[in-house]
Amino acid sequence: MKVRRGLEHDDEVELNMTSMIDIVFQLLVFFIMTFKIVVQEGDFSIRMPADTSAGAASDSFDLPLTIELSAYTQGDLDGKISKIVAKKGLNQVSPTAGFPSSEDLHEYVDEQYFQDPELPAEPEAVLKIHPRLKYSEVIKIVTAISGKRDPDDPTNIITLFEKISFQRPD
Amino acid sequence: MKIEKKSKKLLEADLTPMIDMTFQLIAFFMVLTNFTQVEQNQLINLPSSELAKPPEEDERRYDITLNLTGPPRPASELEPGQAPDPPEGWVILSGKARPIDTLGNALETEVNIALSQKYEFEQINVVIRADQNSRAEHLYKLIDVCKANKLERFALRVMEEAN
Repeated sequence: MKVRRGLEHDDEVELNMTSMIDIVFQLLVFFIMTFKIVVQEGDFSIRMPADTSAGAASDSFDLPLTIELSAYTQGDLDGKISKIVAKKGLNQVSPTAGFPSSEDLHEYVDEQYFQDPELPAEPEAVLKIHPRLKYSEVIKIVTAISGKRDPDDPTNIITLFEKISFQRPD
Repeated sequence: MKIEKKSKKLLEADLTPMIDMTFQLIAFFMVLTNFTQVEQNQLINLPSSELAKPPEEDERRYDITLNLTGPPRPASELEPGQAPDPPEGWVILSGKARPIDTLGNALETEVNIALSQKYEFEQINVVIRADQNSRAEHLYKLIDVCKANKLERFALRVMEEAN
């Protein structure tokens, strides 16, 4: 009886990998072609309810902080902020000539609304913006009032103003 | 004369490391590939902000993206055969550019699509991607048109600031 053995121990198994490599290259080319580097984008949310009585408040503690932004309209500074005035109701809380820069506004907001524990939980800010102000400047101000990075933990953002709305300037 | 027969050697190149590197590359791209299409019109240069963080995924939110144009590039900056940029203060919705005054109908159509998918007005979020050189007056006009369509939630889009 001839015992037919299956595979002898010293037989070499040949596996032709050429096809697999071809498919692998196909996959690689596909992924390379569909790879797109996009810049990550973020959002600042604004709510503008239909009843724009943003100035109406139940009591004086809830008066929104009104920030009026004026703009240069000509020259190199065209579209840039010329004056930042902050008011609570009718009282101007910024220096007479306005805040010199958005950083000063940021410091004011930080001191008044974050450091003081007795303040309303959800303060409101109203922005009145000159029509010719550029969007990048608007974002600069929104950045200045909406939060700051935690100095101890740079990945953490501490929110200052969450409720921001826009009103047409007077 | 003895002519020596040269034995023909079969040159073998071992390509195994190349296959390994190819697998590495595939794994790299597979991990990084993001198939979700984020609507990012390349004409708009967003301003950057250090506080920008990507919006959270929320299934109960329907996003309508409105791109607000800035000043158009001069013809010298365009590639030959490329269409000129839309004028400043125009809105690009679903790839089509139009002046803000004529936005009403197209916006209504978008809103109706959202409503037909059982979203409420409060769940519709208007994402405003405005060019950094666009003016606030256009932004105000845009917000007015949206409010006329009963839209209340807005998001101002910015670019993440490269640290």
